[in-house]
Amino acid sequence: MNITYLQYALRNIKRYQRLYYGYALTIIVAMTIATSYWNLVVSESFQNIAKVLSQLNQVIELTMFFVFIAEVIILFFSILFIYSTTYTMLEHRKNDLRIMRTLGSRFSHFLKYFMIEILIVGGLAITAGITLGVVLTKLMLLSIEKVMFLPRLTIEISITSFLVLIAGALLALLIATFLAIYRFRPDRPVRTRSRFRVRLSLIVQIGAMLVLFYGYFMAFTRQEVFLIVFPFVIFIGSFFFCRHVIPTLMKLYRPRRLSIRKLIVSEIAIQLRTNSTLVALGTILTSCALSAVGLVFIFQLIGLDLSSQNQFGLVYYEESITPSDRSKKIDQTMTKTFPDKYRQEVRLKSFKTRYVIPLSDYNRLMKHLRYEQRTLLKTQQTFLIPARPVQVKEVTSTMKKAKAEMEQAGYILEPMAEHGLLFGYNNRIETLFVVSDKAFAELNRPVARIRVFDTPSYTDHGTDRWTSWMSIVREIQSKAELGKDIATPYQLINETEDELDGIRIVRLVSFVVILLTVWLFVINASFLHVWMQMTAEQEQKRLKTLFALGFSKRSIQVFLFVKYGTVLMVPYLISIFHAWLLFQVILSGSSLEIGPFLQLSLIWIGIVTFCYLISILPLWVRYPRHLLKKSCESSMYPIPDSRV
Amino acid sequence: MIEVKQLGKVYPGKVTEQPLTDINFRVEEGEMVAVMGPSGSGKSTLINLLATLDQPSWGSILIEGIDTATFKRKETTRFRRETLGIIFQEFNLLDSLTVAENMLVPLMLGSKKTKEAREEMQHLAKRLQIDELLDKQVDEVSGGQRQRTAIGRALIHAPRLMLADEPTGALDFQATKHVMELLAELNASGMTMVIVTHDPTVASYCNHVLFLKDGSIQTELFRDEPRRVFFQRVIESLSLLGGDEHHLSAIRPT
Repeated sequence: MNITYLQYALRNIKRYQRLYYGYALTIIVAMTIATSYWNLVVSESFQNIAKVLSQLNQVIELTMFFVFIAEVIILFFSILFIYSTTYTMLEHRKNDLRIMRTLGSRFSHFLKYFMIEILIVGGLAITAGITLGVVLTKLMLLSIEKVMFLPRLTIEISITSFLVLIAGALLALLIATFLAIYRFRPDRPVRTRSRFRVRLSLIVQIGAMLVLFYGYFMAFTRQEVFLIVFPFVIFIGSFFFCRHVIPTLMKLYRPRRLSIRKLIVSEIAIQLRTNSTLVALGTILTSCALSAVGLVFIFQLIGLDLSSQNQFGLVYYEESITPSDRSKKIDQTMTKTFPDKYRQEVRLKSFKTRYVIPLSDYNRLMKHLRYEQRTLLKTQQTFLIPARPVQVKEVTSTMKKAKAEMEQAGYILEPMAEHGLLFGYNNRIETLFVVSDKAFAELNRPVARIRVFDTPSYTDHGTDRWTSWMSIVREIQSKAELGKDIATPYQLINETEDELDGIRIVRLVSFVVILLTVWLFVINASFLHVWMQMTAEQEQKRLKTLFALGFSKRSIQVFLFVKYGTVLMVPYLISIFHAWLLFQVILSGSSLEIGPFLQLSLIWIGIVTFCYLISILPLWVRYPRHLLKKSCESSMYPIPDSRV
Repeated sequence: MIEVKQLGKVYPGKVTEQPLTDINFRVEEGEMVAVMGPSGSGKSTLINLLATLDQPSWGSILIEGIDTATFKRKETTRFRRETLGIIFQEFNLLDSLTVAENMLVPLMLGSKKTKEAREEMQHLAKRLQIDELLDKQVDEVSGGQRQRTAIGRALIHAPRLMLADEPTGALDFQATKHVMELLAELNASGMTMVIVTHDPTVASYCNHVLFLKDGSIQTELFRDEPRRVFFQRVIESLSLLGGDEHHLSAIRPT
């Protein structure tokens, strides 16, 4: 009976299932986050929010930028992870591959063996990731609504966008796998390195060392160029520390009497040295996570500073002659909660998407906001006020058309109002004109109304007034829905001297960074998982020996706890060191002193260390326990497969 | 030294491990016993049980008159540390340590003084002809030298009972001869040994051979003739072991 490639792949998946757990988990998490980001990127309605809620334009643009960066980071590290995991798996299965080569397997055969395995595991992981991604998208939207004070968001999910996503993921998977198999070349016998290659490797190593030391020099002298060389510095640095510095230092420890401490020290050194590449990759990931969280802290400070002058406003839009019950209720709530705050009704009438408001209402609002008030000498005079962010900067074709229509209707156009305040209350309003009260009264159109309320500002953040305000916002959010073509009944406006809405941007960046950090920790834990799987067989043998030599279970437990604790924490400490270098260069680049940030840095390191400990806990505690059980209690002989 | 009575071991749900059904044998003090049998006959399970690395499902193992099942955890550890020496087929040396350090590992657990321990290790290394290699890492020495290091490690605390699992399985002919001569010399000095092996040459150095098949002892041989003649008897028994039951009765001791 013949065995097919598929059967062979399925058996290998079963055999190496423990190695594939970390692999699948990383792809699932990467796909979950990538899918949710992708849904935002391709969603028209999300981008339409910018048009509907005009002052959010800048925030949405930034969102898209960060989402794009996040997608690139996920793609890059996913390829790197798949590549190194596949290479590690090839190393792990070297004996099987040798047999297959002896039996006549060519490169194409090896490609088939692995591609089928990877496609099965990767395909399942991608499917699971996408499914979870849809759930995460819903959760993300809920969170975005909450953190950015938006009405309910609905996002359509198209089949085409999913197909593009799946195709992209599969392509990344296949490219990374192919590269790993190509580098390993299991179809070729072991070759000795030529003199040229040895020399080249030496030159590369010397070059790398120069880059490393120059990088550290730049970091300590706080030159911004360090930001460019940072990825190289951290990789070479981690590699150098794990491969040479720490093992050499540990070798220097030579007590007169051989002790368990000496045994642990030499075991740590050898673990770090033999797996330095994987450790270095893991270190990059942890550093990225650390730096990202650190940056969020900086943003938090800068953002709060930028937003401290911002003033919120609530505008409730309703196109009806008499106020609705909902409008009355919001009016009552706002009056009751904030009796000292300003309230005003603004009337408006529409010509399709062109709206007009009376001069008296406009000037009342301008007076309250301490902006320049306007006068219209003639009844037929009018002027345009910005309704969309783009209208502040340029004259759009919609504006030109609207102006022409107003002129056709007999109006004389005055210069446009010059202020940063936007009146784009609703996606129906494309252009907005101010006309004299007389002209407004003469227009034979139904009256719509806008209720404008002053609300607590960012300076109230953290007070009872802010809490009350947020509960009102949530109440409104729960009843409003914002989709592609749905008119929003209200909008939160942000009247500010400064264009940047710091708080919203900070919340958004934090949100993206938190998701990304979670993913980075997961992928780092997977790296470590693969690393430990690689050494599992040897470790079992080692423990069996110690046990047979008369070491007690307790001393072996201590041995494992200290060894794995150190092996897991050393790369982390290297990450902290590099992240700190990056952090201080960024701070000095922003012309900020490091002093006030010291306390903040400690908090930052504390939080991330806690997250890191949580992510490595299963590897640190459960894995040694599992090894101990397998090695010392059931049998003293190595189990003939890699399962741990 | 060792008395095994109606020993049995089963592994519920495991098909890879051979169960032992009914094992009975005695090993006198100073004896050198070989356990032979085809792959999967239960040799490894038996040595696991003798080394107290596993618990029997039924029956008992008495070592120096004490049932190992009555050992508490600390006593088991002390038994392995003081009474037992174990040699593995794959050497099981610690890669991170040097040859000398590997030999000294069992002494980490004792209270022997550093100077004494070093002297003893150097003496042993000389006897094992690895005194030139003491400062080398284990991956820098040959297979035979590694096994000698492993033997040195097993001997450093002067155990009374030595268990060896295929001690020459990974060695060439010359290295096998050297290792076996060394073990025979140690046995002559009074050390009791149980050696699991496939190799009739190794068995021929012993004075008592147990033949295991399908989880029970099929027969045993006692040596009272020169090694070369005993070797022939071992070969003969092995060839009969592959046959049917009435062939086995021909070699079964009465």
